[in-house]
Amino acid sequence: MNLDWKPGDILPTITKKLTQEKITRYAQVSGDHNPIHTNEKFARHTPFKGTIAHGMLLLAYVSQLLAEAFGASWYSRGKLSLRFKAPAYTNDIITISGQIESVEDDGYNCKLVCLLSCYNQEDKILINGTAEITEPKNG
Amino acid sequence: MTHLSSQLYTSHVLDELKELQAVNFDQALVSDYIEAVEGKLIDNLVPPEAIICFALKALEGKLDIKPGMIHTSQGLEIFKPIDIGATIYYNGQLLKKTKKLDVETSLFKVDAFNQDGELVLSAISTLVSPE
Repeated sequence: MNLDWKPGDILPTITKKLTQEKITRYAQVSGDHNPIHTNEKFARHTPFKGTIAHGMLLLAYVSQLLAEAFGASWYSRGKLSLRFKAPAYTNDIITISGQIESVEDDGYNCKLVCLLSCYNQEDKILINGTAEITEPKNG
Repeated sequence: MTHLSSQLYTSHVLDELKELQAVNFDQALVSDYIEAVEGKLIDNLVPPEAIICFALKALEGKLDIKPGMIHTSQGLEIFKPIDIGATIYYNGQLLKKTKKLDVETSLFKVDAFNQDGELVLSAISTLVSPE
């Protein structure tokens, strides 16, 4: 992991278009066949008025952002806390972004805290949260 | 299973693992997952969120996770990296269930152990389901 991150640094963003094909593919792999994600006719008659992406699919995109920024350190000693504020609809274009909030260095480990958000093409926040990544300084 | 910890490696613990729901994260499963989320493989490791994704499926019956449930929050902590090929054992519990108007909210905790009985990941999920 790059240990030169400073508070205020911006993580590389990730942008995805949520097609129905992608959402259905995720349903097949994950086994989550909730029709709110895959059946347009069913979803139209719910409060959402259309199909929405799985929260866990969006979480996968957040995880990709962290993997891009911190590599295997994220997979080894990471911590994540997310709140799903609004649904991501089929055909939404979503962007995941992050910023370093703090860096703690105790001489042995470097702990980074990041603020994370996911928003759609209308700049509506869909997810916000924080991540912590700890890396031994000699590791 | 509550006394399992990453410090315990006794055969007793390994026997207890056998009672848990398990998923083998072989190359095919991980490749399918990574393709579905348009990700990429890093250092031959399983993406941590994939561990939760398959936990929810594996524990669906045990934890009464209903098909229509939707995520409202997710926390996770990774203690050890998980190599492709690992078998992960899940211990899940319902921490809390509340109902307000027609909306039921459930808080679940899932601990994931590797085949050596080490705790590799813990997750807390909040799911809601309209009745």
